[in-house]
Amino acid sequence: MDKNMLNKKDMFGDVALSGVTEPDYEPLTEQEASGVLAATLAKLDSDATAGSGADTAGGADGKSRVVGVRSRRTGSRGRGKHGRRILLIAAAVVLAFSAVAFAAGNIDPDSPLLAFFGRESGSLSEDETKLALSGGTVIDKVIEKNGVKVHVKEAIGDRDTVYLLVDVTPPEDISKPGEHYTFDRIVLREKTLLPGGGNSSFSSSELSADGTIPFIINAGSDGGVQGKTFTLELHDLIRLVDAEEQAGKAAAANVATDSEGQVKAETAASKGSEIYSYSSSEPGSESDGVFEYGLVTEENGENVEYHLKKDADGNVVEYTSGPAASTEITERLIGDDLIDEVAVNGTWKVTFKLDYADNSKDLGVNADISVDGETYRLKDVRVSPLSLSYTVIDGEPQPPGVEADSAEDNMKLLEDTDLIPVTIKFKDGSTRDVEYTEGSWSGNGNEFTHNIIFPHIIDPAQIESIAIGGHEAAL
Amino acid sequence: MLEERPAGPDANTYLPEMIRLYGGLVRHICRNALGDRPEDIDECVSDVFVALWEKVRSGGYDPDVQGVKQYLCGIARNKAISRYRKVAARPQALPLDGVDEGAAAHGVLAEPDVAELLARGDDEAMLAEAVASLPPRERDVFILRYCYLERVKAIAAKLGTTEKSVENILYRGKLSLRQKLAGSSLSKEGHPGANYMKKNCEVIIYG
Repeated sequence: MDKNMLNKKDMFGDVALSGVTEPDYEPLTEQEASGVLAATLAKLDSDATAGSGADTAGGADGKSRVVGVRSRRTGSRGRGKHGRRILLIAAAVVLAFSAVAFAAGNIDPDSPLLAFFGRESGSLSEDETKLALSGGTVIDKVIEKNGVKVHVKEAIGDRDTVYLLVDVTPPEDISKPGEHYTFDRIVLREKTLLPGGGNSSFSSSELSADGTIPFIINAGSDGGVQGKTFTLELHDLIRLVDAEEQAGKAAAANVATDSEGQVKAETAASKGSEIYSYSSSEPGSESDGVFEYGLVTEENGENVEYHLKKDADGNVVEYTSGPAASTEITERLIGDDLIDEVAVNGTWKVTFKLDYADNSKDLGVNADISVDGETYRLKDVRVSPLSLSYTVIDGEPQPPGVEADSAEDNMKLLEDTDLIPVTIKFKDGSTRDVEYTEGSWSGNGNEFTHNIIFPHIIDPAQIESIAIGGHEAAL
Repeated sequence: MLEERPAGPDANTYLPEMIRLYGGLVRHICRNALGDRPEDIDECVSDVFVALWEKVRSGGYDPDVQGVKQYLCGIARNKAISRYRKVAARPQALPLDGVDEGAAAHGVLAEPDVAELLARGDDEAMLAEAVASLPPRERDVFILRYCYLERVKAIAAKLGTTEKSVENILYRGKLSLRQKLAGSSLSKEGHPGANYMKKNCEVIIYG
């Protein structure tokens, strides 16, 4: 091949060919190269299967994207301010029908998993419980290593998303109730590394009185998870330690509340704990004694942006959050700057099959919607008791086998995704608006899919219609 | 099994060689863009080689026209920036503890002129010509920054100059490019990328 010819489609081609400008980099080791090759071939293989249902490489439609994997704390303590952020990687769509056994049985009615799905109202009704259980399965797989017991207990999910309840029991001699734990990394694999992957938050969980740490881990893929076999990998058990407590000192913090007395933002007096999301110093500066900055904190699992102004003494004198916030400084609290420490090194792997019923309903929409002056096509809508997802296309659907355009070519669509109004209308006349920040977006070329996880289980039979971007799809 | 084009290369022999030769460079570009996100980097690297193979298989890439290294660099840059944007577009996905420090894509995307240039693919030939016409020093700095997504500090170290000098060269290079591209679609206000970049960068600041 002639490497000295310039392809005009390569914007930097001629200069790069000069051989002058190339960064210093480390070549892959043989092991690393093998890993890249395995992942690449797996993606090609999975794309082929996912795209056409046939055994060819031509069906690469890129649909097997994991759109989000997250773990939520199941304990009752506070915000996720210090939650660890992790990337979870799940598996390819190509499945080996593995002979992994799973235990039959029923999910305990007192399961934290059921409580999780009833968190919005405090509990699930009897009908809602039945609905949740119909999409659930007992897994009951246990592994014990390095003194840590990992028990993957049960799962509730739908076609594209699943929630796992995992109890982790650390050694008694190194832990005590009330401590918060997490893992350095969580990986969910199906055969090999997932194409796409997914980012999400991973918060800590609290060691309960019975010596276990309950984790709820959420994984999703618009390529589907139901009926598939996964391996959950947990890497290095991490204990979260209060830095201030550890240092034997308590730092005063400023708390800003809204007009209703709700704590909206707080900052510890020590600079180290307040700058977990520092941004600007306009209009003043810290050295001037008065400064402003923005931060993002977490409320109800969502990031919320605040702007605060502090005086020379570090007191919050003004803050805003959203359009209606007002400020009132009412109290000082103890800062809770948490730091990590490895409690137990190791990797714990458990393989299981997500063998539950899928209660999803496809609405089969194919209609134009108008967003911010642009016309997009609402390709499909799927709803289940746990989640809602819909796909929006800018232009024509990508034919199978065609490499997706870079998302850079579809930035207007990406930008507009947060402008698409979504409202669920129930048969009793009530409605529920869905914010774009709920759930996650996954993109593939000119297609973007919004996956929304409901904070409370919803009975699709009670839904009259779902309005998306002005188009109302009836169930 | 992978479908092969008649008389085309075999993925099982072609890809290992490509990965052996260029995997390190591809990973370097992905790492520059994605910062401390090892899983995303791994995913991005394999995405790049998947894209390469699919282009090769479909006939979309002709090795007789363009060197594979440059072609791979282009794919890597686009894939890495695309992935970075997707990550950044989900506020809940951003680390709040400073782990995201220095992702070069942030720096690149935070520069509206260049962000707009990189956002479009249909004027690449024109941009290539404009870049090629830059003085060699500016051109080198420009390529390292926007093709390989190198950090300013790394560029300064490689070229034996100061970070300030690199920043000045980049500034002059952008001015020069802007003049060369004046009147073209790339320089028009209201480019689809502009607002997205602005929003994206705001998110990144808080990350």
